[in-house]
Amino acid sequence: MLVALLLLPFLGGLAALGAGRRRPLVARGVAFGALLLTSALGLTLLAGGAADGPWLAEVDAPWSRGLGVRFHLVADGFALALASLSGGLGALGVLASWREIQTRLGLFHLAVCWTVAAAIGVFLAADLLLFITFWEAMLAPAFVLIALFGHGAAERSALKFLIYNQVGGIGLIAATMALVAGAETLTFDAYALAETPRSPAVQVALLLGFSLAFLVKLPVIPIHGWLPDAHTDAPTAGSILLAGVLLKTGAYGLYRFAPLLFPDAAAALAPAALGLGVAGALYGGLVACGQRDAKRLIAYTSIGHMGFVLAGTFSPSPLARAGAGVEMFAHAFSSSALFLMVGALRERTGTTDMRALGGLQARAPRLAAGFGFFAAAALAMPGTANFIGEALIIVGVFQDAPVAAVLLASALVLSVVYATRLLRSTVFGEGAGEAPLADAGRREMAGAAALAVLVLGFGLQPQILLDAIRPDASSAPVAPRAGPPPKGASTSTVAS
Amino acid sequence: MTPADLLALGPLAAWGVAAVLALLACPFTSLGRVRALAAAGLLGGGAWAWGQLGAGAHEVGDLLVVDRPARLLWMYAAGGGALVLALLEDAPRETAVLLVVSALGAGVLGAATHGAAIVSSLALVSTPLIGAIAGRARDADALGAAYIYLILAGVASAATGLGVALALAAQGTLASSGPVGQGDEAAVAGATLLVLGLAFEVGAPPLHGWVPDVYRAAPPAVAGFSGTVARSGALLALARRLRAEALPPPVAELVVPVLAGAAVVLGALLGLRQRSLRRMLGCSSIAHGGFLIAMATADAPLEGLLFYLCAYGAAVLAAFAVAARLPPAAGRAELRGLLGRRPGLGGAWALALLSLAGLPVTGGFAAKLLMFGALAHDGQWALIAAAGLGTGLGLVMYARFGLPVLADPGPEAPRLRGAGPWARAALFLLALAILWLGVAPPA
Repeated sequence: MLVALLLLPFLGGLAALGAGRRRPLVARGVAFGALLLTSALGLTLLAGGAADGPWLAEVDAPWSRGLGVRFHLVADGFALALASLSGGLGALGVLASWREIQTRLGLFHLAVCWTVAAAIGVFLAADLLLFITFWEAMLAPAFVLIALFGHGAAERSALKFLIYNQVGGIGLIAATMALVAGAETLTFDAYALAETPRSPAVQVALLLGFSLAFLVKLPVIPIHGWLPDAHTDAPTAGSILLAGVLLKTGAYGLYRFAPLLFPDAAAALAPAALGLGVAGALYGGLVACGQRDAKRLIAYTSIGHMGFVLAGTFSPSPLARAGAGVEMFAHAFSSSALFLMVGALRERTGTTDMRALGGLQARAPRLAAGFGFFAAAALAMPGTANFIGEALIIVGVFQDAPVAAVLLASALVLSVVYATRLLRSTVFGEGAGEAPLADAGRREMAGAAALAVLVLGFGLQPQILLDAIRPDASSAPVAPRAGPPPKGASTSTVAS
Repeated sequence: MTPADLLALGPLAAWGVAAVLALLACPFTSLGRVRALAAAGLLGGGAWAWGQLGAGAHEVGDLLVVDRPARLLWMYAAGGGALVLALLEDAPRETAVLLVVSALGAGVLGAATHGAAIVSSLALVSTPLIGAIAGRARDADALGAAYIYLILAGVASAATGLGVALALAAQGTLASSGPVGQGDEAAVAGATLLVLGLAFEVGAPPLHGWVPDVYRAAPPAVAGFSGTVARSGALLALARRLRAEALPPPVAELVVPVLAGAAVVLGALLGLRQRSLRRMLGCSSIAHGGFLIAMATADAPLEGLLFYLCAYGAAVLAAFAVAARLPPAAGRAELRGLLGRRPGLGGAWALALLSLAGLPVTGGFAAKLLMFGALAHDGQWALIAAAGLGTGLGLVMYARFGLPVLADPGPEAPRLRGAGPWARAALFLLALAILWLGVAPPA
């Protein structure tokens, strides 16, 4: 069944390519159906998987015996949830591009489907060589998506994306090879490699190389340079996939492999990771406040939110780790939805410059409502999944590093500033033209509504998500919203 | 020479016979038949080497060793040479003969363990190539490229000759098992010169200047040959020297890795600014020459080096098979919309560039992993960093020439040259090989 999770989007992409120019509706429909089916299949496996072993599902077949490589896929709840998320956001991307993309449809949907397929491979691979293969396989379709279908200096931005991620990937490859060279038997299986004891110094060196790819993808400052450009110039579907799926592969890589393969180093480097996370949260929030382009603003908020995820991932507190898991999903929902909205706006007005937008509440009330809701999610309004994620991270971090927690909480203040700015310049205010805009159509409303349900659902009932992903299967059950918020200041700002 | 020596060298002898027969046939028949004769000879020799693959290593005096890597190299040269011949169109008949002779040189070089064998076979590789590059000699660019190659080949030949003489003076022997004089300046200088001569044939700095010009102006198949078969012998000879510890430590531990790193970074940097796709392939070749030298330095089985040669060879020959259909000075504009207009050609070009860039699922990706694996195993972190930088920059060069293929076809499409059935079949085989090497890399 896990193979089907990969094959569905892979073959769906090929079918869409075949339908291509002659039957545009078929190409869109096939890609949408395949991706939605992928998502549904992931959820089915998640709901019905019999967990008699450590995994809900597993596939293990020899690939190249001489090299010690196996086609080994494993899935726990977290991986399956991320796989469903990828499929769902891919389908959302297809919906969002219904009117935006009119040429080279086959190629476009191939790129969307294959990006999703490769990302699902990343979430499932247990063999490190297989993992690297999927990791690198994400690059080419995502590059095509940005470079050929983007706006503005799309090719330049896409090249930036490519260089950063390729150089990061070399760190991953080199460290993996060194890891394998130091193991007793020739294997690339992550769980077998984890059994070889290594000195802390070696672990630190390897972890630094290994996580380079993930830190670039996440991204963490100062290696975030590719993200604002790529997000801004990508087509809507590209922005959705970048923010919702590709950034999550970086977070997932750290989340899954850093503590597994390098336990001592992960603990030793936790303060550095926390520092980078806090710096990212503050930097992303601060720079987002100064943006004029709505897409760029959302892109910088991604850096901020992924800073939270990084801070939570390396925290010794299970609470913070759970929060990082929730935040990964929450950010995927809210930022994809915002990109969907901005994309819809761009289709109608031809610009994402916030100075030229405005007055949406009168001109397109449904779009305005969408903006309002997801901007609230982005600033982690209580009741949204984003609030759960960020609150858990701050509470968890506070136990060991109160100063860092305070700084993270102040990043929340910044999020209020940029979210208000986004709203003020789009929903409220005077638009450049007073002509009424076509309001959100059925496709846009359906996508936004689905995401809104998820944001609210997991915001009010986070235990569903936590049970499904079980961010720390070994640790004590997590009681979300149990601890008091660390600082009165943060909650009061959030509520205001 | 004993009968056993002759038997071991049989495949090379078959190539020699094929070259003579093909040359005799030249005045009487067409390029197609000469090509067929030459290819049959090459493939026959390759099949012979395949048959002997299980046999043990055989030393031919001090000069050569016929072992498994040497036989694999012969098979590679036979297969690669035959594919090059299939792609060879619009060239004088004698070109086919010259390519077989050059392949013979590469075959000898790949088995060479003795300084004298290296010097003489290096000349055997490069001399016939001068004529092959010039092609019909009507084309001033091709003639110019041949001159540049001639001059640099002369410098390289002089360097190896002087290097071997110095090594002989310092060590008293040219066999690779000879003792290495520690800290002996003459030995270091001699070995450095020898390495420079080999690096010329690989297309690595400092004698790399011929590569972009030859790739741009030579008949495409000949350019492909210079990037695949012609360099293979020199690489194997270098790897043998390094493994036998026949090079003084300063050369083995400093000169060669620096050369590899410089080639990787320089090739990628030069490639960023190219407008002509053939020149871009030349810059890519310099960079891959660096990766190949890096693989030669790693203390890993020689089969890895041969796998890299196969993966790179399939990609670059496929790229040249497509380039041969486009105008000689073609750049990004001529590639525009190729996938839409000619899906086969466009797909092959995209696949070749993916493989050159080392992205999955292609032979180039497997080769890249293999190279980083070998370097990480040896702990050569500086070289890994250089290779990482080179791969990152290289990606830009490939993306710039890969992207237009996927774009909408422009209003005016350049005329594509037709290709014979053999060239089409060769391109199909090469595309298949790129995928196969990526999906199921042989252990």
